[in-house]
Amino acid sequence: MSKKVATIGVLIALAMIFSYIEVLLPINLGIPGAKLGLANLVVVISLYLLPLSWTWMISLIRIFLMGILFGNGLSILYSISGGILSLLIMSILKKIKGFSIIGISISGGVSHNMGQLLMAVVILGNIKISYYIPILLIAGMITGILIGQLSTQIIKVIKKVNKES
Amino acid sequence: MMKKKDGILILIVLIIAAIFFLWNQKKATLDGDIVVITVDGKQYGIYNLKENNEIEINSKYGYNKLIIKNEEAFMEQADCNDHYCETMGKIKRNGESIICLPHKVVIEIEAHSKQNKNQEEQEKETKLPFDAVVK
Repeated sequence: MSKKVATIGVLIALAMIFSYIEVLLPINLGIPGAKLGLANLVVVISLYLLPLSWTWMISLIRIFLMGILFGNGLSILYSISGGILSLLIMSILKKIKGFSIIGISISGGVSHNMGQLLMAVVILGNIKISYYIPILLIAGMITGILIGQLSTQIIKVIKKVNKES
Repeated sequence: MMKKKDGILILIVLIIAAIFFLWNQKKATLDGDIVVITVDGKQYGIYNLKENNEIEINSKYGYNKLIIKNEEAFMEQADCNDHYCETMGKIKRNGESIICLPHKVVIEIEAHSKQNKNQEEQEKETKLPFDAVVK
């Protein structure tokens, strides 16, 4: 129990620092508002190394805390819809098997953006922002590939260290 | 390493993106001529894209300033936190939009009012001479 609380706590803190780095130093991807989503690195890695319920807690508590600290009610709604949809899709595809970490991460990045767009349609009451679907799909795929590649390397190292100790 | 299903996933995403992109392109072949402003899902106003104009959008969510100049519309100012709408550039083609999420403001370019479009299509259909040839 105490190990669970400590692990989740440390990983939430790590994810929050990643989010905060992106608040301080926005990496320009050429699309206004698009982010690399470094915090998803923590989510993808914990999806592979920790129980699913832990991953859900890390993702949701991170979004909630970042929203309280740096955002507002609306920004929490956008993040949470993206966070829930992406983790849902990633956990389903992981169960299906046959996808690599990069594939899972791509599905997460794409569904994260689609979740946010869906929330924007609901909040703005305007279906025409579907104009942004292609660019959001491609952006989600590229960030997904980058996060997936990073996750693959990190998971390899963590597993190696665990074996040696 | 990437697996086969990863490739299928990437392909599916690319195909969906391409379909929506082509759909956008088809709409964008028309030059827009009116600017529709929507706040919180309700229509705020319709303006002519061919006339230079400065529009101040005040709502309970905040303040935005839209400029229409040289048949292009862009957001000059907003009192929100992120200012993304100011970086979204100039829009002039049918279907293009500027969105200010915090203020729930959507600026859209449309080619004509729907009624006009339908009338035009009807006129085109009736004028097409090769109808009989095809049949």
